[in-house]
Amino acid sequence: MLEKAKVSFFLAGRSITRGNKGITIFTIFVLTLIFVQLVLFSSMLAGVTLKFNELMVDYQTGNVVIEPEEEQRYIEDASALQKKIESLPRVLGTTARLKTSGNFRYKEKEIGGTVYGIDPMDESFVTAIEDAIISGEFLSRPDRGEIILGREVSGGFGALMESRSLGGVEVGDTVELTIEGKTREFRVKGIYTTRYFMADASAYINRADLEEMLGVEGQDLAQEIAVRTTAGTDEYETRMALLSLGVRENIRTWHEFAGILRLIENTLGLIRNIMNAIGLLIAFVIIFVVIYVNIVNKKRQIGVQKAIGIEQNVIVASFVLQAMLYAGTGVILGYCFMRFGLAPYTVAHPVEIPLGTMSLKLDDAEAINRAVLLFLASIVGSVIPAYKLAQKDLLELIWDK
Amino acid sequence: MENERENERENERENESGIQKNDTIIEGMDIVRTFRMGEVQVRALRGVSVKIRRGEFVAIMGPSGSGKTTLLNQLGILDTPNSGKVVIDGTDTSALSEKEKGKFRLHNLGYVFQDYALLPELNAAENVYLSLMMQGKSKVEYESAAAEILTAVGLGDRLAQLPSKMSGGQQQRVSIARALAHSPIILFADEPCANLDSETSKEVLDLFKKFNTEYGQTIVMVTHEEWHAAYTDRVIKLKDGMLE
Repeated sequence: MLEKAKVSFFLAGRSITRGNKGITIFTIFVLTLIFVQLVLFSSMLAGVTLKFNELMVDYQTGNVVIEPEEEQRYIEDASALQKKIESLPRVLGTTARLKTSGNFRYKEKEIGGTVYGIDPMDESFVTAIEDAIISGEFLSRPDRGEIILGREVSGGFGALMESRSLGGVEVGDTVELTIEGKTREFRVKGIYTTRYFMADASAYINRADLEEMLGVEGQDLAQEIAVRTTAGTDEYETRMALLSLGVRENIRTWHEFAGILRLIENTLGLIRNIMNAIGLLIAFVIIFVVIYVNIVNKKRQIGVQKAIGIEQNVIVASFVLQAMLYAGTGVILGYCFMRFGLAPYTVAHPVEIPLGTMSLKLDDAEAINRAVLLFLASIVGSVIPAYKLAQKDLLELIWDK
Repeated sequence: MENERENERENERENESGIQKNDTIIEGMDIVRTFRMGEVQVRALRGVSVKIRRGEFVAIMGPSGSGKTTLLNQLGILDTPNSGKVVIDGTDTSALSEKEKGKFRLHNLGYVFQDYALLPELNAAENVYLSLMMQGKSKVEYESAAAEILTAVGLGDRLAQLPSKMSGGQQQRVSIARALAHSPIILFADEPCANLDSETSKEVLDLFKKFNTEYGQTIVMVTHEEWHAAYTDRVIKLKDGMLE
């Protein structure tokens, strides 16, 4: 058994070191590209997901969101609850918001969107909307009758859905906002973009303004309280801490909140799996063709090897070992290229995508998974042609009859 | 009269080498081999029976298409006859499976092909010791055996040379060394000089003769050159797939 393996390794080794260098380099290059292709989409997806998550936490939900109890429209005594939550050591800040849908009107254009009523000071402790202002200024506590629009509402500033926006509102313009039948004019104080289209399709006004429009002024009500915790705090631990504080409202981590993101993630995951399957099929075909061509060129040699008594399985194993070595080298080169080249490069120079900027995130577990699949493809892709040819009649191999 | 003198000469040679040639090492019995070429059946061998004794140097000769190589392939169990059988050193090879035949070839038979058939990615020594590796010999054993046999064929200084850097004669000598490295009971050579000039052919035949006389190596060689017959003990003549 050992001597057979030794002969297979010997033949494979000599074939690689003394065989056609061009074919070896080409095969390894192609397999490197296939591996990169297999992990690239996963890395992109991981990068996009990470970006989505960051945007979600930074501009919309914070780490944890508290919503009214079931069948309740509002959280009551919102500021008391905020104080209670802020007493937790790992909580950096909370923001109680009123949230409703409204109609924006500017000149002839009218669109719908989400309107948040916020305390600007509290909001800046939880989200980074203030830093996302691209024109004008963020709200301040005493502001009344002023509004901050997301770029998907205002239009302009590279909005993705320009045709569904107000068509180019600028700071200082006045827009009409209609909520539950009440219409009021607001002066645009600022325009923001998070580069996350869902967050950019909203508007922020002072909580007092929205209370007034909803007819709930002075009642200390909120529709959600977003909570920001220190970096690295586990959201589920925060939820447990809130529950132990006696918070009876509905507590959701941002993970649960981001339902649509998971939908997008799952869709992208499906596409990734399809692309992986295609990539593996291509890998299989390439390995098959390379080994087949290699083997056909060595038909006579296989015949001679069989004639002098080298066993068929030893000959087949020598070709499989070659393919495995090609695949292994391709995987290592591809991994090094991704780990030390492309991924760090995109971290230093993020790629511009419609959702914002994105960096590749190489997941080692995914890379190992792809490496194993590529290895299996190389084994199957080499066993079939090697076995088929080595099984042929000895004289047919030698004399090519 | 001529035959008697030939026998006497043979006996003298046997006494010199110490090898007794009276026991049969290969016996081909009523071998029939038919090939199908498209719609046509070609009867390459039509019931050939031969006996070759241990230590004999036998030439198989005959015109083109007479079945020389086909007979060699049957005797060397590189091919399987349609009917008849080949017994080598007491083993009925028709009873062996393909795997067993491979093992039998590995341990007992050696081959020299017309176009050398060396593995181009292996150097001279590696080509020679490949079958020894397969037999499970240790590195020291197979390397020293390869060096020894290559020295014996005059290539002791070219162990690491690749076939592509060698002349035809040198390649054929490596091929002979490969065939003899594992001390086979029979060496089969299929037109070993076909691609060589007369001078080199003579060198190769001298080598065969040396191994035959000095070590009692049984050799079965296919050739179409009449002058090669002078190196052999006996000629088996074929015509149209039958013994002449």
